Amino acid sequence: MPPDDDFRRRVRSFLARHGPAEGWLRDEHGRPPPDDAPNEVRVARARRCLSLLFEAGLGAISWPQRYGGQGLSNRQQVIFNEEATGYALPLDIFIIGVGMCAPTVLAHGTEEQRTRHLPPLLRGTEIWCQLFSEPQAGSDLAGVGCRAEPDGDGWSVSGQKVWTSGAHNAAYGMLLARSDPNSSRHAGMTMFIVDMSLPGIDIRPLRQMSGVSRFNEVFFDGCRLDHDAALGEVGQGWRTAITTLMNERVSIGTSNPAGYGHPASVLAAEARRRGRIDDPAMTDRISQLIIRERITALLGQRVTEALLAGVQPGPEGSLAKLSGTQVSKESASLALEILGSEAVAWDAADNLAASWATVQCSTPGLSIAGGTDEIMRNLLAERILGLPREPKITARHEPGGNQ
Amino acid sequence: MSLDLSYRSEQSELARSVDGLCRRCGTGAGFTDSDPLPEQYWRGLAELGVLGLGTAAGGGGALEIAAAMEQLGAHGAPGPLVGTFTAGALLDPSEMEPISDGSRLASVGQPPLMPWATEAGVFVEIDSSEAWLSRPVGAPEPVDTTAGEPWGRAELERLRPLGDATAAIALGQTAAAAYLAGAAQNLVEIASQYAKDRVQFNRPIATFQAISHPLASCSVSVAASRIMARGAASAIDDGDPDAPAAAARARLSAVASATAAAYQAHQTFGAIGFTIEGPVAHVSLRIRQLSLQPIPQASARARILESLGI
Repeated sequence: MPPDDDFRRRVRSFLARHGPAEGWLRDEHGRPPPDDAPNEVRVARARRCLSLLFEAGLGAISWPQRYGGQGLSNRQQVIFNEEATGYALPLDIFIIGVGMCAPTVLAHGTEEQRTRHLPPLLRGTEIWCQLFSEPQAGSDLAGVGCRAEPDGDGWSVSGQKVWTSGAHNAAYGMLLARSDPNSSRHAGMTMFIVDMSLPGIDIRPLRQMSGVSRFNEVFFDGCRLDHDAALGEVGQGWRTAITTLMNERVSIGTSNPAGYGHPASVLAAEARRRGRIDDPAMTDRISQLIIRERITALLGQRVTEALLAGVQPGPEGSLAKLSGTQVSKESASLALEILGSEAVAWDAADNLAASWATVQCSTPGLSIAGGTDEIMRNLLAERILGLPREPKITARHEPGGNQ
Repeated sequence: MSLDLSYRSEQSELARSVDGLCRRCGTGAGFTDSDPLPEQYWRGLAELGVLGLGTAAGGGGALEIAAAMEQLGAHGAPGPLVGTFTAGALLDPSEMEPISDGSRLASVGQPPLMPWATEAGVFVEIDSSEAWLSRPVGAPEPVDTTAGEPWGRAELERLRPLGDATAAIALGQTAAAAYLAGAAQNLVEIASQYAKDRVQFNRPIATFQAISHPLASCSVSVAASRIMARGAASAIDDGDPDAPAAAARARLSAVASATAAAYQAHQTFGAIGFTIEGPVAHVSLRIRQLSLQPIPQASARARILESLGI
């Protein structure tokens, strides 16, 4: 396919031209550069990367031109992704906006909302966050209690959100709130687009075991939204949220075949260097990891191909996510075996983010973020295998024990 | 051959004292402070005689060490604990005295990456069969670790061979096994309590078998690990020739059950377990680090095969 080859060459030459000077190169182990810069520096680096991409006609590749994209095909986006995996483009802070919020705005937004919000979202001038989880509504998202009450011709929002990644950088948030106080569970919720600079919003950082503060608690206290802030129909927030969640799993599931762990090839090189490669138990684990990486890549590719064929993401995204999580965990466990103490240590002058240890600290989060392993398995059991849902318990349960 | 698998009253009493000390010095949820080794805590351990256990001067044996380590593990307590007990079986009484009284820390491991190297006053290099009293050439380069322990990269110069390390490794592995079993036991308990308290889908999440069954499985392997650790300690105290292999088995069993318990605790607590302030994170990170001590797991496996004549 010559047009594909031309495009691939363009991408390659762009990455080769900017990669070294911009600090997008991976080290000899395939690891990205340290990611511990102060928040403002991270944001600036990310924006610069995106603006270089747009200058070269490589930003928002498959998005329509009228929303600020290049109007190219999904196939070309896939080619770009393939080439970019060899580099470490600092685009993490845009994943929620571009990977999850933008598809939701496109699917459920009014034309006015799309033209207002998509261009700056895709260009990264406005960063987005996702205001879904609450202290009492984690896996059980239908338990959302944050209230949006009619207030004049708009809404007044009160309640608490939690685990909101990137809220501290966000210009806008996608908020799932209960708009009908007499409703329960899936009915009576509405999705809103929230300007995060409005009065009545308080953002507090939470520190993660991976050593960084990338997620937050967000408190709403009588925050006033205009009537046109609703995204999708009023009362149909659950439907809108499902679009976001499906895209979230696709984003995570197709992001990197090696998951967040060290690739098997890197671990194999370390095992060889340490004289462990001739141990049959070791070669067995490494080859199992290679097989799992390949399976994860193929699952991701299947999701990508469904997208190319214009099919909305389904439970396959959950399968890819679950597979990626397992690969990461096995990679982290194998790193402990091969590297020993080096896998949990880093030079004090250096930083955690640049070390082998960062994988040990971040893998426990992968089975939780973006839908827990248990919720993923429920989806697979119900939607792929057609198994019945777990029976509901109707009797009231009091929380047991004391604490 | 009968194994003594229960603690006697003096061992239980020591365990209660260690538990009390940890409650006083920890921060309710455990040792989550930024201080890697609170002075009051380490001195407290010395005063209770814990740091001298297993030495001629300090008295007590492997069962006392296991009883104390189970409690320390349950609290996720810090310090060069495994190294201290390993050193106790290798060093002369005069060399051990400042370690037992808490005034010096022991760094026991395989260079260049040495535990507590920047803080340590005594260095012992150990491989799968022998040990040497050593000293660092120049100041060790500081290294941070997932468990928040100040390690260091050091070039070691051997001062004196300490001879065969088999018994010391057995004691160190038994101590590590007991710590990990205690840590895992605690994680399963707090995760089970949380599963009873946490309501999602209008019911405590403990009523979902996807939550309760894995916790039940963990409790089985944790109970097994505790018995294995006590059994290994008993074998050491009885001079059983199978003791080194028993210690290796106990250590590998404890690593597996503690790793699984940490994973399941994370799954049960969800995102709160991924926060540094939460009740799981610091213990889970410590388990990862402790799973590597005092010698690589591969050496422990080799010891088990050896005991089978393979």
